[in-house]
Amino acid sequence: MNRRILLGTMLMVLVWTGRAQEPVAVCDTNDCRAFLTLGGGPSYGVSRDQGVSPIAYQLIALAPYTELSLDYGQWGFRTELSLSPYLLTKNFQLTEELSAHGYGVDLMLLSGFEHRVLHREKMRVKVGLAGAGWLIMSYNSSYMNACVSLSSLVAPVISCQGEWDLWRFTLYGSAGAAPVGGWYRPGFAYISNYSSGESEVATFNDDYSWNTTLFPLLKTELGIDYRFKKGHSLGASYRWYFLTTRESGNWPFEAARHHLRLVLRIAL
Amino acid sequence: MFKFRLTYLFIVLVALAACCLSSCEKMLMEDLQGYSAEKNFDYLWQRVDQQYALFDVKEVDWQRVYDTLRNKVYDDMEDEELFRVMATMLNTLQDGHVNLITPFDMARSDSVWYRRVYRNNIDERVVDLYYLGIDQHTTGSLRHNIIADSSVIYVRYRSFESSVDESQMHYIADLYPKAKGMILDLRQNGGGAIRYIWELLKAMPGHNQTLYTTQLKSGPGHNDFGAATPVTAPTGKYESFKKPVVVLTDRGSYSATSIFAISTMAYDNMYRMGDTTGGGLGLPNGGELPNGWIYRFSVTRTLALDGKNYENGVPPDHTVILDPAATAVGHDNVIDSAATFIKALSTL
Repeated sequence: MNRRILLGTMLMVLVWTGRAQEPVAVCDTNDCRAFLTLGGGPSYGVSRDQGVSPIAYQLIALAPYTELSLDYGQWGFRTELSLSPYLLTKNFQLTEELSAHGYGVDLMLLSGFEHRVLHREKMRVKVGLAGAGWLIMSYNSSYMNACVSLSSLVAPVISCQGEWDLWRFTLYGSAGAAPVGGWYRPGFAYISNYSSGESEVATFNDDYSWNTTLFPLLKTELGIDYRFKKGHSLGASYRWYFLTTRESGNWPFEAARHHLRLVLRIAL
Repeated sequence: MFKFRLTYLFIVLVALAACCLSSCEKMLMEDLQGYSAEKNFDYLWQRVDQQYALFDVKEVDWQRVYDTLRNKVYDDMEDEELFRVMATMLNTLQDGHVNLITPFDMARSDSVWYRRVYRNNIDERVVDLYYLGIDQHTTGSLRHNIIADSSVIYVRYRSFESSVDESQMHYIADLYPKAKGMILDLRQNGGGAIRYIWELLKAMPGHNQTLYTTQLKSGPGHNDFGAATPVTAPTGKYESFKKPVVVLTDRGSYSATSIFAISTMAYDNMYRMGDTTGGGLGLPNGGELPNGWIYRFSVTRTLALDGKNYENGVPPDHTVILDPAATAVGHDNVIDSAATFIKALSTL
């Protein structure tokens, strides 16, 4: 697989230089295609952790991501990984100088499969099931001993996607939700490493606990791809996530993310 | 044909759902930010009511505080006026770890500040001139010299906000190999980073003994606490200092210094001398009001080896109050008493 990823990367370079090359087939049959997707772009979001503040902080980020996928007949298998460092701010205005109140990072892993349930010549509908893992770490020095907070979500995500081919373009839209999920969050009184104080690094096991909740995650996506002759594609998409603990746990946590992405999909 | 229409319908519905759900977190997230004075006052009172860990020690009727002050708050009041009412509310806790920070002012406990200033049990000028002297040494944040006829090491550590390392303590011990003991002067040390407590204690003969226990608020009730977590003595990399160590404290010894003071109860070679510390054993966390003002207050309670909560001050083993008559002639009777104590122990 490492050799194929390296080859896929080389293919990407060749695409950018405008040269064509016969792709190395990962699958043995015509009904099977493997892809490496690289993408990223600006991201905007909001986060509110009512354990420390009722104020919804805005975040500005760059959100790169990568995905490995395999399409086999009516089935598709995908694993997506993204890592987004961000700045936290209040009252963000495009026309004013950005004032950072904190920092953070999102780490998201989404892995699962989809099945094509309806198919016409230029239209397809797919339903999918994936496992999502989301880690949100933030730092805000204003909160002193509660400056570091870690929120983790693990949840199954059910989604539905529609695709419509127009010449060499494909328009798609999807919506998904997690019916249930588990949150790993700080305890009732946020404080980092209260038990020994031996290290400045927050001991995340200090009073963190798991709690389950219903519908902790919603996601939607709208996008457009342009397909090249060799199976590669270049596109853009807008993706929206909403995460919430609802009333589970000690204090509600809510976050929304808006990702605008340029997407390059390389056929392996 | 039916299948085609169904497919088309599905695609349209998904696209509509994608469009509608995108960017609608404003509908899903109630706006809790606000500048209403009543809202902010109630929010602060409730957060303290639910998370403050020391109501029993402070003996404060928090509901009565609300009932007394709430009618002074109204939505059109000026920020400065609201701040004064909130500061009055928080001041009833008499806790140096309770603060309200606004862009224009900061509220703190009057009595803690008063005790620190007016029961100052040290004259820094006398210490600098007659004990540390012109030939003093500075090892990191530790200023030191040998005193009492070259028989006692004197170390001045001014603040736990300044870094200190185990190796520095051992350098000092090795510098004076013939000393009979050490005076560690923590008077007017207002606290700071807890991790520096361990750096100092690593130089002492620890054997994983329990130093104290700590409990974190786990629920909204005044007596809702999690399990007591024992904190044990750290072990150092170097040979420990086994000779007598006298720790000097006063009312300005607060927070991390008070925690260090109760930790000395677990060491056979450590003694406390001077005045009772300022207390402040509860660890504070921070938060934010709907209007953006920052608060902090204690969310843990700390119990010493004897099971007591010394939040209001850790008493010394030997009370020695600074004598102005002595300082007038260049003597710090607290340091002198400690040196005499160490010399007496060495003859046993």
